Amino acid sequence: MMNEVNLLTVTAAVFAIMMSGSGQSRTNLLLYAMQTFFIALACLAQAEAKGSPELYTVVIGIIVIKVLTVPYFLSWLANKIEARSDPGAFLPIPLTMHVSILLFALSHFLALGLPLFKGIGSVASDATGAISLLLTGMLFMLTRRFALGQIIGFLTLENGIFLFAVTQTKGMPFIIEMGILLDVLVAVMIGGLFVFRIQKSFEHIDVTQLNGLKE
Amino acid sequence: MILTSANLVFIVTLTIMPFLLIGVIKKIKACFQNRVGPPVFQSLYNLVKLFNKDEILSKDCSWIFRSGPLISFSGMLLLCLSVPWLPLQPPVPGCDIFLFVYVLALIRFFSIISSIDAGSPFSSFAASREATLSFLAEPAFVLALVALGISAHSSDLALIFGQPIENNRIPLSVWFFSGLALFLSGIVELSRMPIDDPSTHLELTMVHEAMVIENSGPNLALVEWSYALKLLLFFGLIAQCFVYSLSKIIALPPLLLPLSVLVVMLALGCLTAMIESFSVKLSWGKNPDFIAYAVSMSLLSSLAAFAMNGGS
Amino acid sequence: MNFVTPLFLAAFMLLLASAVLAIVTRKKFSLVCVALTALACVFLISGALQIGRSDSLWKLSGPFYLGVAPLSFRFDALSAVFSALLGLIALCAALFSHAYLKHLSGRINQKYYWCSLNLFVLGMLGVFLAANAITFLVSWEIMSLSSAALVVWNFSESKGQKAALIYLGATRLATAFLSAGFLWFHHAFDSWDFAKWHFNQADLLVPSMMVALGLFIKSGIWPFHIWLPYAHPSAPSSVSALMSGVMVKVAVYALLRFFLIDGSGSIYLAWVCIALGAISSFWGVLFAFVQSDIKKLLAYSTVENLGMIFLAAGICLYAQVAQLKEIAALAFVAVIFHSINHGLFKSLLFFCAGAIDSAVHSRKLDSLGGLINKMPATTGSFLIGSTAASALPPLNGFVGKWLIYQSLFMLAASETERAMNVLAMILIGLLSFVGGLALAVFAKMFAVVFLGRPRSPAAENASECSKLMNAIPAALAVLCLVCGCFAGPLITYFCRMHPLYSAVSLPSLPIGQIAFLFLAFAIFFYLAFLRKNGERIRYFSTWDCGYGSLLPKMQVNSQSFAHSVGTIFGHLLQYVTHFEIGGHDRRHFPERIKAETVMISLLESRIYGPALALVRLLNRHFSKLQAGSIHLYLLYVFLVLVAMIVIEVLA
Repeated sequence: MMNEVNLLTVTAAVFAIMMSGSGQSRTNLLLYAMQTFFIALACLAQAEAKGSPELYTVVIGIIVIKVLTVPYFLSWLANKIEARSDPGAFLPIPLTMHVSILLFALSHFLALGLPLFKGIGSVASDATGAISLLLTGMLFMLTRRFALGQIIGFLTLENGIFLFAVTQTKGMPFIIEMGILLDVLVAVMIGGLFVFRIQKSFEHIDVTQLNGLKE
Repeated sequence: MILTSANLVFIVTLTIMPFLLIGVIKKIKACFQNRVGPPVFQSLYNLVKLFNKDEILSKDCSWIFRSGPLISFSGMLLLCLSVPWLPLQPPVPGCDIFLFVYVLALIRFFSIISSIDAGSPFSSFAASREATLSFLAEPAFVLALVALGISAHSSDLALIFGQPIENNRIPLSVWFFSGLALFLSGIVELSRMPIDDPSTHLELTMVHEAMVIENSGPNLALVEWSYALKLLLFFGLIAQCFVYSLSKIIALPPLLLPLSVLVVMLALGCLTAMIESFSVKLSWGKNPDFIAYAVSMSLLSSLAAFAMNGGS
Repeated sequence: MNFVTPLFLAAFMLLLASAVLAIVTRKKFSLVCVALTALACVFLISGALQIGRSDSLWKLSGPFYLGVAPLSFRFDALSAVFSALLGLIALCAALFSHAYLKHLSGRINQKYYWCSLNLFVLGMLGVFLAANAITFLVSWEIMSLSSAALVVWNFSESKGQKAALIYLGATRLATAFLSAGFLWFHHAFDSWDFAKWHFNQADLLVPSMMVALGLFIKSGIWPFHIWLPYAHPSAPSSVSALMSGVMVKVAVYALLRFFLIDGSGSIYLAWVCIALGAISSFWGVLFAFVQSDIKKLLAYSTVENLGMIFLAAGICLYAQVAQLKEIAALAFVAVIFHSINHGLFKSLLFFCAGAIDSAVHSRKLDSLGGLINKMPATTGSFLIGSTAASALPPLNGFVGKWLIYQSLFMLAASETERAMNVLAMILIGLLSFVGGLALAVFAKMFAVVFLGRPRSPAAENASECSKLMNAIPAALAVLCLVCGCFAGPLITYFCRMHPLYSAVSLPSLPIGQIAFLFLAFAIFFYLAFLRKNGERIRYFSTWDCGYGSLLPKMQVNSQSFAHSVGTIFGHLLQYVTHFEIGGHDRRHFPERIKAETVMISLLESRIYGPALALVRLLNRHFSKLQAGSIHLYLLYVFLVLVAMIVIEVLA
């Protein structure tokens, strides 16, 4: 029942879950990088199974941009604005992790019920991992107080969508995949700059206090 | 209790391993600090020394105080004799998960009340912390074992652990995550770093060491011995988890199984020593965050157990 | 030859006689009452033991006709078990009160007490034996009102008033729901006989929920538990023991009788029981942790245990629907076994609380301490009671909890709905969490009350109470041990009580063997290591960093022990600590430090408080209708009459 791809995507989802349990920005980023690395590996396995050479390029792109550049940049940013640990909002951070495990179980049930693409090397647990990443990313965005958390959560969410696309379709056109990758890079840069500017103007990046802006 | 050769091996290793484990951990920590460190069996020598010493008791304490170490030692020994390890069946059969967990709880109950008995603020404070930590870590410990039990379709520890490899129906992921959960909750239960520093000398920050601050002589010896047995009990279970998950990847010959469990136990000792050398103690408020990871691992383990259970 | 009916009849008669005698006679009535009540309880126990597995009906006709249905009783195994428990605890309570009331003498009206106590026992017995709804309701009312009377005994104090009002409110609500449900059932089946009613029918969901709601309120399940922590501290300890040991079990008995014994199960009730049971076990133990009054703490612990019992009942109902016979049998046994366990150890703990109260005249944990040297016998019983309450082997509490765990485990491993598997798993996690907390609660209570140094002069000068007051908890402690170590035959016996599960084989628990080995080890190592050191012990003061003068106040107290838990669950408990540091250079050389923790019950402040305010507001408007004019009232009667006629004509 278990095959290679299966294990890789589930590992990525587990890393995302572990990420949601830490309030330390650097731990979050490290675990994000690990998670993305495993997605890259899953993508590599897909490339082998489907025999599409463009996917290899995408894997290299992911590793260079999402595994190395983005976490490094964000970690630099976190140091710069001294947002090293997040106190959390709405839900205590340890509980976030347990909720995301329950969401993982939920996405397992969901994936079992979906009319999934029955292509080469695609199994239900790929969809499980992808949906779980998506939900964990959203939960992550929801439960962090600092804007940096929203960026990391968004990136995890994007990972989920990417994984879903790679494993559940016959493959997207190469140019779109690369385009999305670059979009993510640009989004992170812009998001990072915004966080930096917010920090400069308000002397904090606490998003729960943004509702003070409505007047 | 029938004395077979397997039981003999079981009991002989049970006598030596606890002291060896403690010795190895201390030795490796010393190596990291550029010290020679104590001899490997120093804890055994300490034990002999303590048994021959006089005892100092507080004027305020009652019979509860001396009963705590006694109960914790006899309970721990009983558990060691009824839990399979070194993949060997235990001499005392029929211990199930919940009985195991609650005998541990009985020991904890008596160690808590006996540490409050003398009325010392230090040990009572540590007892409060111990109670808090252990109920936080309890779900992780129970769920990790239960996940294994669900995969093995039995709550009897002898049918989960200590089985020949070909009988082993528990999938790799359940073994692995349960092993992780047991290790993390073991750190809490055994009061190791980063939850509690066993070698600090400040009463206010310690948990286990401060609880026994009033104990001395044979009383203290029993405490130390039961701690060593507890270490063995936990590491024995954790090592079995990892060895069984290893056996799902590479085929281990049956004879190599006990040996690999011993090796993994020593490796766990090394890992503990390394964690203790390189990490810092968490502040009290951060401990729940750490324990949350143990709970997560056990939840993942049980999810894996369900996913695999339904698939078959 | 069957002595069941005469024995029970004798018990009824003696209880009534004792109640009447208490009111009528002038002097020396206490001893006579005790003797009569005790004799009644002995008859009760022997009658219950006589029942065994037989099943017989006993109908009284003629003068005992209750308007619409005869007074009728049914003797079967289920009622036998609960009546035996009642007989035992009532016997203990009667004997204990005899000694205990001396402590309250002058403040309590003994006539009144004995009369209500006997009626209380009589009412509970009636509920356990009732074979039709009317007998059930009448007995239920006798039980509720007499217990309310026992709670009210110190109506002059404002605390007592509040407790009595809250308790009365809760019992009224429970009775209202029960009566409404019963009327509906009567309408559906056209009979008052329980034997003809089917509570689990799908089209009768609403009335069965009403009945269940009434039972939940009576048993003090979350969110209806708030009467427990008021009623228990206010009532005398012997009454608390009866209320917590037996009266809340009346609801469990009714649940068993109505919903569990027929084996069809109801999925909705199962969900409700599981949800409320899980929440109350967590909630109860969490609140127990931060209490600093012994009886309040015990009351919250009752909430926890009742939660576990209802959780097991929910599992039983679910398993019956899902046709999982083994799990249903296990959960069924768990419900009965844990009810009995809780009855034993909780009444034991309440009796001990009474003994402490009579010796020290305080129930505040923070004014006790060091009682182990003053009251050794009470300490021993209390230790066994608290180990049983924290579900530690080899005591009976553990067996009950083990049965619940085992049924959850089997449910998690069974081939049923996936969601149920996962839920069972989460419940195991929750129960282990609750178990860990319960252990901390009872370790804290035992240690703060009995160990260390006395925290007040009263505790310092305490002395052991009378022999009778020691003997009763001790007897219960022995029973706790026996029920724990010899659980196997009891489990089989309880399983046979269910008509459908007599053939099911249950997993066995080698607890007797483990306990024996444990004891052997402990004795051996004591002889080997500790005893010969006896002459080499030196006594010295507790480690005080060399400063000397470690004050009793410096010991851990109930609040400081619970502090870390309070901060972790600060949001649920509304737990706040106020620090006040005073003096000249306040940071480095404080002259006085005051720390006070405040805890507000979330349910009371956020839900019940506003709800009561709303009721009061409505009352103010409705009271205008009740102007006191006789003509107005006649007008109402007239209008209602006309309205009824109009409705009848139109229909």
